[in-house]
Amino acid sequence: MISNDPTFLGTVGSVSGSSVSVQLAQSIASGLSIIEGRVYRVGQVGSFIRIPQGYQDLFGVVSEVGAKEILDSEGGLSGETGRWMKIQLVGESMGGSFERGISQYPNIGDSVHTTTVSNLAKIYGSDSYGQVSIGNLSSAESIPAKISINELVTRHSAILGSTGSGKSTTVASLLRSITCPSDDSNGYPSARILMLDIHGEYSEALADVAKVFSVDPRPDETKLHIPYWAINTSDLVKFLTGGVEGVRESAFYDKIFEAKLASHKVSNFDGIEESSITVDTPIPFSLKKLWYDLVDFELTTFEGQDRDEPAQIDPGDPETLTPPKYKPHAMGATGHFINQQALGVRRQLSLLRSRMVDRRYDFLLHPGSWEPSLDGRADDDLDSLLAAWLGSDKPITILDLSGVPSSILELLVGAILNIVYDSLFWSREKSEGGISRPLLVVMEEAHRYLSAGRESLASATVQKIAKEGRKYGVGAMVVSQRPSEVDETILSQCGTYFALRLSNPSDRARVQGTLPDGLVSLLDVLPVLKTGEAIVMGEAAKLPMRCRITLPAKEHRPKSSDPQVAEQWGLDRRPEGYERVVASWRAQKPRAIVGNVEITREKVNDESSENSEDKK
Amino acid sequence: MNRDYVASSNIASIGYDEATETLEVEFLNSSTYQYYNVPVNMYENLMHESSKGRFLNTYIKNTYPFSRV
Repeated sequence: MISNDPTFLGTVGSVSGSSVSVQLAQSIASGLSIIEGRVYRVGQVGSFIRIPQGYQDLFGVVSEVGAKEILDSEGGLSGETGRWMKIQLVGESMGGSFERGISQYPNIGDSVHTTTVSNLAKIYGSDSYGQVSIGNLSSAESIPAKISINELVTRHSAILGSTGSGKSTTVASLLRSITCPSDDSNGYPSARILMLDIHGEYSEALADVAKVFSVDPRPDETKLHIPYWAINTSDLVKFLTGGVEGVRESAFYDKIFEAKLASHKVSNFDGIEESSITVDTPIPFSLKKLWYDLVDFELTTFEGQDRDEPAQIDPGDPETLTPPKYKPHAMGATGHFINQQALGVRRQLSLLRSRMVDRRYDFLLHPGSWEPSLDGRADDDLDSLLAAWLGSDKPITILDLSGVPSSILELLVGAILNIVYDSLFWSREKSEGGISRPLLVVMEEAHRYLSAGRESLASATVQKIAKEGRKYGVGAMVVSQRPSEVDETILSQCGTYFALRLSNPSDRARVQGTLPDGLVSLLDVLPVLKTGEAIVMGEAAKLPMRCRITLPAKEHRPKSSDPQVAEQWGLDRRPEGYERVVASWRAQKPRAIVGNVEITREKVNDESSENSEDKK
Repeated sequence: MNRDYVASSNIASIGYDEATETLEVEFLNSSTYQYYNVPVNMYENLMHESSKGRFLNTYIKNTYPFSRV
C-alpha cells in the first residue's frame, strides 16, 4: 500500500489487548520523514503514533520494532515489507481534547500515522494554563515536553536515576522552569517549594530564586535552627536518652508535659486552651530545666528523723548544666539516705547532658532565639520560623543539611517535615495554608532517610504526606539513586515518575513495577539513556515520554558535577598544607581555616568580565 | 585556542596579609577564598592588573594552595 500522506507509517496487522502490531509501509524505508518542514524519525521506540478512527484518534507509543527473518515469497501481501512495529495504545482524542484510556480498538488494516507537532499540541493542550515545559522530546526535538503542575504537585512525584545520570540537574531545571518559566511572562509568583538539600548542591544553582538556610551558613545564607520542642516528644526523648522504657519513659513525658503547661501559663499562647495541651503540643520548654529536675531527683539524699530533709551541699546550676551535690548516702540508721523513688535513669540523663553540650547538635538543642529560658519563655515563636521557611519572598526555600551529622539526619528530616506538614494541615482553612498556597517538598537522597522497613519519624511523615497530602496541598518529590531501598509505600504513592539512566536490575524492577504491563518495554531503554535524558510517565505527563531535560545555564547548574580528574592531575604540584585539612575535619566544617588572620579587603574594579564576553 | 572562562571569577574585593602571605579574594557570587604562600610581589602584580579575574585564573588559582572560607 502506497500513500502520498507523509505521516503514513503502515497498517494495523493484529490487535491484542492494548498492544497493536503494525506492518510498516514501503514509503518510510528511509527512517526519516519530513512533515510540514520538520524532520521526524519514524519507528523510534518511545515515539508516538496516531490511528485515526473517524471522529476519534487513537494514540499509542512504539514499544518494539522488528523485521521478519524471511519474507514470504508467495502468499505474502503485496507491498509487505516484513518490518513491523509493536504499539501500546495509551489514549484517544475526541474533538479537541485528549484523554487517557481507550474506548474502542482499531481494526485490521487501519492506517497508522506519525504524530505531528499539531497532534501533540492537541495532546498536551499547548496553551492551557498550568503546563510547564521541562525539555524536549527525544524523538522529535522540536516538540517541547510539557508536564502539568497540578498533577506533579498533588499526586507526588519521584525522580530516579543512578549517580551521574543527571538527577540534580533535572531537579534544578524542573524547579527553575516552574519558578521562572521562559515562555510564560507571568509565571507562578506564589509558588512555594521547600527543598531538603542533603549535599549542599543547590544553594548556588538556585541562588537567585531561593532562600538558603544552612547549619553552617555562608555570608549570604541564614542559619538553620530547628527548635527541639516542636518535635514529636517520643522521637525527641528517644534521640536524647537513647531510649527509655515503661515507668521511666513516663517520668520524662510527665516532666515535659508539666513544663509545657507551665510555659503556656507564662507566655499564654494564642488559640490554645490549657485543657487541650498534650505532651506533643509544640510549646517551648527548657531542656536544661528538664535535665536538672530529673537529675536532682535521682541524686537527692535525705537526712533527719523522717528521712525527708534534703541533704544538699551545692544546688548546682541548670543554666550551665551543673548537677546539684548532695551528701553521699551511707548505710545504717543515721546516715544520709538515698531517694527510694529514684528511677534509675542516670545513664539516660548523662546522655541527655552530653547531647546538650555537643556542638554538632546546637542547631537543634540550642536553636538561637527559639531556645527557651528556664521558665519556658522563648524570644521567638514558631510563626517566625514558618514565615522564614514557607513565607519568604523567594519561591524556593533550600534547607541545606550538608553539615548535619548523618546519625540524626533521619530525625531531623522527620522533624522538619513534621513541623511543615502539621502547620499546613492545621491551617488548611487559612490563606497561608496548604490549600490556598500548596507546597512542594523536594527530598533529595531519599534513600538515606526513607529506607524500607524502618519506622522512623521521617518515613512516617512522608507516608502521611504521600497518602493524604493531596487533600491538604502538600506534595512530595522524592529524589533517589537507589529506588529499591526507598520505602515502597512512599514510592508507590508517587503519581509521576522521572526515570533517568538506571542500570541496577533491582532498581529498574522497582521503576518498571509502576507501569502497566504493556508499557514496561518502554523502560527497557533505562540503562542506555543519555545523561540528562528521562522517561517521564504518570499523572503529570499525559503520555509516557522520553525527553531531554533542558540543561540550565552554566551558572545555574548544581555543583555535583564530577571532578575533572585528568585536568586536575595534569596540573603542576602546588605546595600543600595538611594542617588545613585536619582543621576542617576536626571542626567538621569544609570552610574552617588555620589561624585567624584578619584581612581587610578593598573593593576592586575587575575588568575580566568584558574580556570574557568578547572571548566567547 | 586556549579559552579561559573567567566570567565565573568576577572579583569583588581583594585583601592580603603580608605576615602569613595569605591572599583573600571575594568573588561577585559572594564566595570567598584564601590563597596561601602567595608572595607579596604576586599580590602587587595582581593589584596592578586591570583584568584581575584573568590574572588570578592564570597565575594564582592553579599554583597556590587555597581554601574556601
